[in-house]
Amino acid sequence: MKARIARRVMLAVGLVSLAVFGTSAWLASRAHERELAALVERQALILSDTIRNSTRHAMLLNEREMVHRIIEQIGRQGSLEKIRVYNKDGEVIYSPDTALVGTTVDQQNEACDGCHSDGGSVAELSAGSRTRVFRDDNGDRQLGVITPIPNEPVCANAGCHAHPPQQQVLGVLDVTVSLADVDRTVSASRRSALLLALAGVAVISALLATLFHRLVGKPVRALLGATKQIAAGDLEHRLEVPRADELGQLAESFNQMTARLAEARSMLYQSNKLASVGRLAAGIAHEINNPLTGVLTYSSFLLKRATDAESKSDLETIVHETKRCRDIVRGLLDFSRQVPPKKTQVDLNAIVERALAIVDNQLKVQNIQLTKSLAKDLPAFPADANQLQQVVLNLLVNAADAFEAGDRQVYVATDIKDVAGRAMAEIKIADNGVGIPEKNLGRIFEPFFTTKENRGTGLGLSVCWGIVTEHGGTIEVDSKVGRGTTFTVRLPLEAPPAPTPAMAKPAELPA
Amino acid sequence: MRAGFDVLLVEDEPVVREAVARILRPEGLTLDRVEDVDGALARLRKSNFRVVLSDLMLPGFSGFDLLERVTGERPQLPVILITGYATIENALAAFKKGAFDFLPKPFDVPELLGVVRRAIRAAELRKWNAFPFVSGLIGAAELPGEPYFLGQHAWVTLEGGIATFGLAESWPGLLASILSVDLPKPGANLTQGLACAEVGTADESIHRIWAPLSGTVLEANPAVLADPDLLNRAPFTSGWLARVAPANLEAELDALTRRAGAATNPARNGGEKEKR
Repeated sequence: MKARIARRVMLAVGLVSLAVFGTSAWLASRAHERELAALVERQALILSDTIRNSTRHAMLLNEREMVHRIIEQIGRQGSLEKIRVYNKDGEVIYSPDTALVGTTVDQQNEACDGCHSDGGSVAELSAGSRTRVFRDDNGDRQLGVITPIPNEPVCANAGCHAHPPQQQVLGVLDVTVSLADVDRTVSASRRSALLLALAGVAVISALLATLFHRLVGKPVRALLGATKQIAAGDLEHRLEVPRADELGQLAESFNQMTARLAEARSMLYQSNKLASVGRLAAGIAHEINNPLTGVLTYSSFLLKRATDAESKSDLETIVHETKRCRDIVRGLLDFSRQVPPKKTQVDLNAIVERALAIVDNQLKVQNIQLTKSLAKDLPAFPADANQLQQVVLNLLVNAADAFEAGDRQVYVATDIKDVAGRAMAEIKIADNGVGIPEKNLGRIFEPFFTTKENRGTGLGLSVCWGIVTEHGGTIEVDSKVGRGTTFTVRLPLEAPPAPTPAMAKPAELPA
Repeated sequence: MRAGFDVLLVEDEPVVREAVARILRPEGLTLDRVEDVDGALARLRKSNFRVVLSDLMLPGFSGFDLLERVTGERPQLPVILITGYATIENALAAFKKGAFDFLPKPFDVPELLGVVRRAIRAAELRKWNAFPFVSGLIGAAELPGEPYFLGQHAWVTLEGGIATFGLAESWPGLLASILSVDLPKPGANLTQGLACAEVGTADESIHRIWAPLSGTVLEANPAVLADPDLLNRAPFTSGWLARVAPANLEAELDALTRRAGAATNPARNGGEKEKR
């Protein structure tokens, strides 16, 4: 997935930057080319005017030799391809290339287009139309500049009388400059611009790929890995949240979601376990009640009829122990009774106060200091007052049993809490007692799990758990060995949208 | 001539059936044993009984079905239901359906004898219509306000959010001389349908009293502790048992019944309070 996103992003960015760089490089090289061309043109025009002006005097004196020499010397410049002077009939009369002298150019020649394209003749030409660009036989571009040599009174009055005064143009100076150098420069600069653009695209793509990898690819890959882990059932997996951006927030939300999922799974696990234990307990209680009735009735019957002291004592033991079995079974039935809560509008503070009144004596005897912090604005909510009192009482008795020596404090608080958008009533019961070792924390809600050597049935907390769950609430424990334990019970103030069948109701068992 | 037995025992569990027979016979009680409701109905047509002692969970029809038939056809015949499972709900249902009492498994000899003897005495008194409490009206009429009843077992009155409860007509005049009374201590938590007090009588019997409602005990009647025979003589007045702060009154009233005779007494309905 990541590879595909990265490839797409890089392709898109590469294409866009290529287009941008390419266009700008092309525009720059066009401008460069135009500048160079203008420079060459200006030089050619200046050169052309220079030739005409330098030869003017020699021409007036009709000193052909002098004209020749001047043209020849100027023609030695490397970039000058050709210099020709035609007379009005198109006959080349001067040129450094003596082979050309005497040849005739007709008016169809490209050099003549400036004036003679429409067959007529024009005496004056603007600077723009004096130049032309054409390709020579080698395919190189050439810039030609023509300069008409106008008839002047001085020419007509010159001693040689070569030119009649009515003649407008005496001839044309044609200078051709090679553009091959310019073209080479331009194409070289185009090549380097293209290379530069490609390099830019490559650098940007590489940078982008790195950034994408760092900023998006890595966290997304981590997220992907985490979802796979979770799909595989590892709900302990947590993502690192190094940043505060959207991906960081995503990772954080993901962690929260995983935590919730783990919580839900453990609750489900617990509830399944408790439900099956509840069913088992109910089944056992039912099955065991008949034989137990046999044992109890027969033993108490024998006890009633026994005469000698020894059998009486033995039978008393049997009856006594059987009655203990009865109490255990009753405890099991209490746990598995699965009475759906009989809900009325209850005042949680009143329930807590009642429970406190019951354990008040015990707390005093054990020298335990009690601190209360009951919320004043706690509204009444639907719950089974009896069951809730049992929960509070159980937790209080547990707290009172949590001490070994020293400072003994129990803290009881009620409050309203907003949990994921739902208003919950909260009861906190905390002690600064011995705490629960971490290995036991996961098991304390299990039925029959007890650390109170022979003193408890191990059902108290699982009964609490069942009651709270039946109410659509949660019970959580937080404990540190040597620091104390806090139980937090949260109960919804409003009835839940759909009841959570945490503990399955055992079906009527056959007799 | 129709055969007559003291007890009709309906129980599908052989061990329990045999044990109950062994316990009752030496007490001079005769009994007939059947395994299910059909058998019980057949015996009831054939013979006379003073009390029916039936298990709740039976193959086919349940003890409740038998209870309904008996209370419909022979209201004078006390039915005791033996319950082995989900005690509280079944116990409350048993009372609501008119059972004399219920006996949760497992039970010992004094518990069995206690409830059976009380039922047999009640049957005798009802048969001769000799005892004024039998109708439930004379004794219950002494109660202030509008009392609630847990079957024939106990009554509850409410006054200013405090409940007072005592024993109803399955008790008075039916107990042998009382040796011990064990009442709940103040601060104790009662659960509706579970035992809250115990009475031991001279005939080696123990009678268990089931709490008619849940709550915290505020006061146990000192007069009863001083003179236990008040339970026999005056259970509706000075022989009340305890005052309780109800924990879940609204929901628990469902399990209780009211009686037209007592409730419609205009002299008692005007909120007139009697000081006991």
